Amino acid sequence: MTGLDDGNGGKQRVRLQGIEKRFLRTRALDGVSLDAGTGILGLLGPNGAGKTTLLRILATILAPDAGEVRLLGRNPSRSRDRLEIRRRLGYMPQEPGFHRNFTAFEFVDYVAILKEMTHRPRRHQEVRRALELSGLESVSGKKIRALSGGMRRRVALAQSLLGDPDLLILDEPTAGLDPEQRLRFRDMVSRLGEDRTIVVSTHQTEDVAALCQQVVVMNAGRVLLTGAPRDVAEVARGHVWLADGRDPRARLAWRTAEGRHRNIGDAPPGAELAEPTIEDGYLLLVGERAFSEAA
Amino acid sequence: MRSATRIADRRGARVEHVGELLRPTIRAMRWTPPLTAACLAFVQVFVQTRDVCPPSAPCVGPEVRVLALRIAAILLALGTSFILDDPTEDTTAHLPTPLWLRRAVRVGLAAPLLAVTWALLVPLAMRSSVDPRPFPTGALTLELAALTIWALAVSASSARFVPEGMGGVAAGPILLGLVAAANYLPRRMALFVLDPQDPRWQGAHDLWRLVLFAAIATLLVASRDPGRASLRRHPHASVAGRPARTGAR
Repeated sequence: MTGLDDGNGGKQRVRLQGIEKRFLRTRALDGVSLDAGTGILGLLGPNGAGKTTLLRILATILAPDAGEVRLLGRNPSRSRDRLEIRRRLGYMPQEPGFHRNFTAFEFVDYVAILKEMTHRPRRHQEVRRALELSGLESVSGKKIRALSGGMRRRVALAQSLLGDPDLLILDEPTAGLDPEQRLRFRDMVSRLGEDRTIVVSTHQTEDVAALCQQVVVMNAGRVLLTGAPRDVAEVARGHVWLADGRDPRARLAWRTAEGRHRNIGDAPPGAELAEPTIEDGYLLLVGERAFSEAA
Repeated sequence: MRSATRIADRRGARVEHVGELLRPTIRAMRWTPPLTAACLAFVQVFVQTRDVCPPSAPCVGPEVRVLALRIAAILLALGTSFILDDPTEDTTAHLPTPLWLRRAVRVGLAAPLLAVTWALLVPLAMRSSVDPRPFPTGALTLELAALTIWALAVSASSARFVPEGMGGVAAGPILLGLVAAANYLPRRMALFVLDPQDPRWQGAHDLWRLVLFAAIATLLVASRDPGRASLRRHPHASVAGRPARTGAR
């Protein structure tokens, strides 16, 4: 990672220390700490792991109950700092809401106004740029209610790109996208991540492996592992083996395209060990919950 | 384009900003509920205050006119509660334009409609009046303001708990519940006094003033930046994070 100045002389654009968040009796985040500089950071975890809560804290729309947050060298608990962060922030929520009687252009333009872009010609130029980056130039005049779910997610992505943000937070951005759209998305995010910080939450381990320089695996509000994608895969080294059939000792097994069974769990002595993937490591890290979700 | 995002600090930029917000906000607002409520209010006031008796012996007294306008005020408040509904509230919560300003723009856009409707309803209710005593229009306008701001406050407070930020859907039943509950207040604290000559009328409208202030305070609290609330409670809170595994080896 190259790292850019965060405005305060440091290279860490996101710094969280001991973040805690509760919703009534539910502890959504329990002492989460992480640092991120320029590049793409992937958040992996099962449903309810606390990923969305963490992203909402990073997007300054939720305040933690305890812990320290520094974003772009500023403290979001101070209102002036929060305003400055918001001017340099892009956020795509997991379930974006729209005014469905707006066209894609009108909606992104509305968001641009809320982003304080009041100079109309320059704003329209920026809206066109964001729509083009998201591959929406051909449908920019269509009403949002007439767009497919995947297209709507791209509209949400387009609004997050307005103003060329230094910190981009994307919550499940590839959910509902078809394979071609996902590849286009990877290409775009990969280019954007060259000179800014992108935090992506996803269930797609392939996206993390393909895009992210850093991965944070979460479960039940805690960080289980922080490292490179290969570090996640390494967790499963020695725990993945191939066999001609489903091994009863395996916690999870499936038949591969070659007709053999890929087993994950505690490998028996003499087993034919396989090269682990990030998915294997993730499944072992997250444990029973991920196994039950995957099954 | 980053220069285009730093303009709100300029003097007068806020006015320019609000000016740009007006058109899309008008299009984004739900106008059907307040317009329907206004129509129902007109019909209700017209029917309830229609006097078929001779002017020398009117059947419609001031109590009936007060009741008709009070019901109209409740209808208008119910309709107005939908103007804050914003399905994009979560999607746009991270943007620099504060929530209170977005809501103020919406209220500012709906206020003229409400004022004009009320200004037409009062003479409609008074059209056949031969009573020489002054009618308490100001007191009833205070009730309308308090009811409407309560409706907005309830809508704003419940927006984050209702799918797609549709706080107006929750505000209707809650407001009706509050109005029903107010009818069971002790006599000396009665809010809905019907006869303007009743000795409790003045006391009731002192209470209405308090209700209005409470509504404004609730609306302001509900429109604060959601990103600041908890840190205000724990300004210096810091808990050591549990050590995460770094790398896997």
